[in-house]
Amino acid sequence: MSRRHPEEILAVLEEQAAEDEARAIAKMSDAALDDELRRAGVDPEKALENVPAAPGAFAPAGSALLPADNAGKPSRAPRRRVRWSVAWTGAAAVAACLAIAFALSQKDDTREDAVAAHGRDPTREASELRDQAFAACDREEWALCQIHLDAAKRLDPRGEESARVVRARQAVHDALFPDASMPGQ
Amino acid sequence: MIEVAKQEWERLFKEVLVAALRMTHTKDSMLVATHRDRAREATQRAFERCLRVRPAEVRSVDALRAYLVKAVRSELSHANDEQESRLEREGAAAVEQATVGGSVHTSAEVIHLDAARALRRRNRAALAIERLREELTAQSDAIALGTVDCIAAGKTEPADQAAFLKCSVEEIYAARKRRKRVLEKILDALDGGDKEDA
Repeated sequence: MSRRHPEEILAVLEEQAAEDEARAIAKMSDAALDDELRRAGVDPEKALENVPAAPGAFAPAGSALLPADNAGKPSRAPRRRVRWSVAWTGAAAVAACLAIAFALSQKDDTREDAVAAHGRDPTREASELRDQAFAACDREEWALCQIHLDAAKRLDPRGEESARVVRARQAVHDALFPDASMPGQ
Repeated sequence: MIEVAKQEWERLFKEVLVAALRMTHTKDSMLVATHRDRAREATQRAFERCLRVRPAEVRSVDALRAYLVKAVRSELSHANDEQESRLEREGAAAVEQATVGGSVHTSAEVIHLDAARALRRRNRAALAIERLREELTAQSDAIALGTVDCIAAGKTEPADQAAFLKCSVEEIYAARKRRKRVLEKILDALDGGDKEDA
């Protein structure tokens, strides 16, 4: 039979003693806990002033420590506020995209005429636009990235199949609609 | 990690703080305030660590309590180490600084201090376990003595110990309480009537 070293045995003994003590403390009433803290020179109210925020807003159903009327109720609801802010940001981004796309499409009509007149290669121009789009994506200027991609698409629809363009469009989509890929939220 | 409500979290904070205060309890009136501050700091750090690590295995309030108590013990032992070795480290740093060329190797002083500390820990543990066995034998506490033997053999779970010692799990828990009281006295005596080095 493999024997443990005294150091290991002592560590286990101390750990089990701490576990037993924690279990005994857990059975104490709130008043008894406060009394012990006061006896040790700690003000129970002041002690709670620097407690870090609780991990989550909801208590598990049937929680042993919580009174029944409080179980399952949120103690704070920051998530709803976060969702609204995300929704507003997304809506503003979409509106900006549409406005700029409209302005650009007006510009593109004249540009198409110019391209025809000057005989420029639309594929090459689309490629330049896509380079600008990728650069915008790298700078996380998602709306601008989408506008350049759309403009390039009008000039060279086949370029849309490129893996880099697909990745860029996915990145724009994920950034502008973070909740869209998460059903049920 | 389990999510808990603010009220429950604060109750846990008080529980863990009480445990920390008990761990750092001292009879020396000159050290009471220092030990109380150490307990508060350790509790604060344990909770912050829990939030930072967010241990996935913590899925119940009991598991969370056990995790926090372990974290407090760990914090207090680090605090002990730091406190104990501050002077030694300062001395070692001075020696290293004085070394021409600033050697990248650990100095002989540091090696000797580490070795001495490890030896001191080993001797303390060996002596404590030996005295614990003697005391439990003198008290004819077969179950408590049996739990120590079980732990030495790698059986730490109460159910395994109960099956091995042919008794109930409740008797094992009762024996653990008696064992704890005896061990505390022995460690107090070894540490000079104080828990400073515990």
